[in-house]
Amino acid sequence: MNDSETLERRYRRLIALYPSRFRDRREDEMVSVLMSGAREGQRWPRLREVMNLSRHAAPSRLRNGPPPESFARRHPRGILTFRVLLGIWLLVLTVAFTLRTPWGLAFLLVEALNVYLFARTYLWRRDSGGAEPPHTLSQSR
Amino acid sequence: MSKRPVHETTFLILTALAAGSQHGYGIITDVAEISDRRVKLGAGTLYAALDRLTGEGLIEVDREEIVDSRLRRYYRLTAGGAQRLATEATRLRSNADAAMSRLRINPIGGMAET
Repeated sequence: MNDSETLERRYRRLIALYPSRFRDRREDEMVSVLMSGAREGQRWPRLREVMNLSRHAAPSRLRNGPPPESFARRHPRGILTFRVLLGIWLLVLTVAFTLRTPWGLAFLLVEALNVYLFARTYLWRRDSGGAEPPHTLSQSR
Repeated sequence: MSKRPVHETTFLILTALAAGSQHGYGIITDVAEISDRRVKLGAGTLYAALDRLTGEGLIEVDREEIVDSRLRRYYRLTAGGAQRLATEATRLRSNADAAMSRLRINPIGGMAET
């Protein structure tokens, strides 16, 4: 595998940080842009590029909302209530277990996932009112 | 259409497209040139802006080409985008004129006597 192919593969891995819906529309185009800006013999994405793509991929993933046809899309209000209650319960478990065993901190990871899923549903519902995500191309390829 | 002032990055992207359609890398290099190398758009920033501007109806896809086995998608201003850019350029010029005018009155640039 030559330098160019190696670099392209690494750029594609970086772009995998974006949600699949975004990648379907943008991946080839973004790879084209990134490869156009690469130096001769470059094998790794620049740190600036990694930071830039990471910074924009996270909100893009959040704004993309829950998967199509998912329960969260059909019942966003119910799922948001459920996640608030689950979050409170997980905090209680974290405190209770951390007092006895360090493994209690593992609940924090589950809590972080819960917060992420809550934010994804909340932002999708706020931005779109339950319709498609706001950043869809009017003309897709 | 929103009348909020546009962010500098948005202004520069719209300016880059004002003379004709461009693909993503063309926009990046043009924005760097317009801004005298001060603004270097990352790919993530560019595509977040292009998605937003497309959603707002200020730009649209013009055409697609395959060059060296790579996809190039060209974007162009819509009529609404051209109007928005003109409005924003007029606003900025008005502000700049006011600033220069006052600096001529008080060329030191310090606090004016009241």
